[in-house]
Amino acid sequence: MASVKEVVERLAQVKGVVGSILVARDGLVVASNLSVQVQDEVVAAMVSAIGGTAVKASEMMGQGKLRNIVLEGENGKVFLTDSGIGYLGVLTAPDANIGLVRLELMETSETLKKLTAGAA
Amino acid sequence: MLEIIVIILLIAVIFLGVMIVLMWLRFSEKSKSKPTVEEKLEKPLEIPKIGQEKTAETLPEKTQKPPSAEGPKKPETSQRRTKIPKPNISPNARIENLTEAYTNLAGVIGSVISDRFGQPISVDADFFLDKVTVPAYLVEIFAHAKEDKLSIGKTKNVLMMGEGSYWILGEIAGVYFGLWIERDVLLNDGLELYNDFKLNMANTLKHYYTKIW
Repeated sequence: MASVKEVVERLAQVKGVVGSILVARDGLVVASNLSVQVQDEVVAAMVSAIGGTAVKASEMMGQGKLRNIVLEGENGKVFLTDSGIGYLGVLTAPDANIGLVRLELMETSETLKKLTAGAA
Repeated sequence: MLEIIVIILLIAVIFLGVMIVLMWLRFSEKSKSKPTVEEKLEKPLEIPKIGQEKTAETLPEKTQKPPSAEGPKKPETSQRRTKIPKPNISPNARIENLTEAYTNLAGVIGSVISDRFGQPISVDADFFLDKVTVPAYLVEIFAHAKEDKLSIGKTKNVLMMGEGSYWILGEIAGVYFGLWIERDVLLNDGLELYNDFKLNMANTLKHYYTKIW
């Protein structure tokens, strides 16, 4: 069976994905595969903050459980989802296929949930 | 004279022979199509019961439908995804009218407009929506997204996917807004509607609120 790090790194092989990171709910990096241009700790802190706010907001905004959140910027996109043990974040190029990345993100999230069952 | 008689007799014989052959062929065809007496006896008789005469007569008509050239019809699949028509916004519409107009669209559950401090300017929704908390969260999410620590540049919009619906959040000139859309609506259609909402907001702000700012 693949390790958590391998599963997170595999996500970065999807077309358009620049990097991927798994962050615990408190903001600590569990596994990451980001390029040298961005600091893991900074991204982890942001992913944790946005993820925490989005999960609360999703419940308050009548959406039920949050599936994922996408931040679209001028230079790229950030995809986030709750993977049980923490938040899984993916950084992509601006022209990345939203549907494909979301699909891979959800699949990876399910894999991580199975891998880390009982650890969360 | 004798030769002529012989020729006539020959023609008559040939004619009779042809006639006999033709009649034989016709008789043999009829005998093939008709069931023999033995076959008739072997086949069990089907006697309709009392009260079932009609059904016995009508049943073959129903069951023996002529096969159509197109083959069996495929079941019509219902279109799950729906496209939203854009609302007609009058040029004099105020910002409150925008949320009302967009919320009234089929496929849109609600819409929110708030200021940069998270205070609601206008909130409309088909279901219950906390008019104070939701704009606050909207601004908080966007505040995180705006911090350019994720190296994605200036944030254009935020998509929040829930279980049965999704939000598209955005910002224009310090005014935050969001559209709450049903999951059945395609994301591209939702984004198209979001852009239309943004454009109408820009027009409204330009028309009414430029002097304030």
